[in-house]
Amino acid sequence: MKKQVLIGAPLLFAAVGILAPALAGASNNYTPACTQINNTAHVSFKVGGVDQGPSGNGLDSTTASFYVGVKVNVSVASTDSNNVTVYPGSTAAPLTFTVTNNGNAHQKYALSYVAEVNGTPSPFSGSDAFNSTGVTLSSAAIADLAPDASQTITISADTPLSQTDAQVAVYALKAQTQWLGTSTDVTADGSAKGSVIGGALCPAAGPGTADIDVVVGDGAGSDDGARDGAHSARDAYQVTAANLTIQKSSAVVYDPVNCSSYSPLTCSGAVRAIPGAVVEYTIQIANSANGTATNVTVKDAIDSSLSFYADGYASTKGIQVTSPNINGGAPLALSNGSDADQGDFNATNAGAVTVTGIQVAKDDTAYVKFRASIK
Amino acid sequence: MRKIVLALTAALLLAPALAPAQQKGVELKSTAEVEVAQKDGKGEQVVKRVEASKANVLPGDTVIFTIGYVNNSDQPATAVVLGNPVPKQMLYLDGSARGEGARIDFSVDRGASFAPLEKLKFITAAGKERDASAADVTDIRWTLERPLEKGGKGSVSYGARVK
Repeated sequence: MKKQVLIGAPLLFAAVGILAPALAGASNNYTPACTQINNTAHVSFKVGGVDQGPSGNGLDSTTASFYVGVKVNVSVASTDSNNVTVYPGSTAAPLTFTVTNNGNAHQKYALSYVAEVNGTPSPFSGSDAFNSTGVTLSSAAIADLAPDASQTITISADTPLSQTDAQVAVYALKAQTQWLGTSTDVTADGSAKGSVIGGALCPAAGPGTADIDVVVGDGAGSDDGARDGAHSARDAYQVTAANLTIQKSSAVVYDPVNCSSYSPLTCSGAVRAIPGAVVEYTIQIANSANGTATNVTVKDAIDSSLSFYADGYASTKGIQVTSPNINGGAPLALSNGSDADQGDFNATNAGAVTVTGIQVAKDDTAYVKFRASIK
Repeated sequence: MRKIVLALTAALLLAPALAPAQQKGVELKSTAEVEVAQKDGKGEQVVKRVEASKANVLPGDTVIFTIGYVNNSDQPATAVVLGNPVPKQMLYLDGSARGEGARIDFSVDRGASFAPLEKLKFITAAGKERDASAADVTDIRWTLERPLEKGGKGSVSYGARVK
């Protein structure tokens, strides 16, 4: 063994790179695991003025060789940019993720989801307040993901009807590295190395492959630690529901004593709720939540002490609707019979006023009015 | 083509003679090492060099190649030039080439031309010329400035990062 003399200042290179996070979207183009790297130097020289070496071309050095180890690095990211909107009763809503192999070897990934506990913050806004039902993954595993390749994975779930507006459910997707063709988790440096080298991962096993090692270099995810062969990220559902409030009010508009005419209405002094008086009922529907309520139906039975006033708003039009989606939001008188318009009396429901097709968005209000005379 | 045939013939003719007898002249030995940070007995971080073939070498890691040379002939060797192609899976680290008493030149065209790195130009795949950088280096050459006396020895080295 000849003594090697090192010349010059020592090259103090820190062992960087293992934990350097991969740039999003960038390809690492790492040297594949198990690649043999050889370094051979050459010397040319003269002795006695004559070029030396076989055919005078000098001599090669011994070859210094090593194998590139297996770098395990997986990342999971949500591709949604906000909480995913769901509605009470909605089914199979997707949370979308990508799983990326940032290592230098083909890997298998076992996939699982975590239903976060109440109070877990969403990566976007709000915090977990309920659990979805029927939670499924688009696949249970990625059988073979090449270095620098990504695959899209979705969590899909149903939203219980009982959920209310703005509630959030947080889920995480976790990808655990496994050796190709196995269900063996890669959780630490050197994991199950014996089953890998010379197998599917390093098919070109040769002298020295026993020295190939496995280094796990993933970062900590939302639901896993650093350098554990796994990575995870969170995404969330947010419920959008309507919250309707209904108020009914009444006002006497005509009485036979204080008024001389109903149309045009001509009264003097305060009108009184006396037999023969006409009362206007107003049903107010308001929505204080984020979801738009569609196909709202108002049904109101006329009390037996009252008679529906058939000509309340025009001849044979005793119902009036005011809704943002009807008649451009302006009041519309509806005919009493069962026909194409949105309302009727004593047709859809016996003895009752029925108005259909009302739509109320967040912070909007709709009104249904009808009149009745006191018996 | 003819040159290659001739070289092969020469190698075949010389092979039996070379195999048993040690070729006298300047002999080289190439080693590859990585630096590993360890804690010493006092708990302080020390950097130790380990043979690359016995360490975990991963993409992004730095490997130090050392080429030791010794003159085993009976006479001084003159015009000693050491050349080392950078393995294609590796990127030369700027400023890492060392060699006492040697002029260090670089090539970015697989050894067709050599010069100090700051004087080299690199032709990109798109055909444009720009100043060469360390990552373009394909070959390193050390030219010993003085004859190597009988028994004289030394070493040169460089660092490179696994792609």
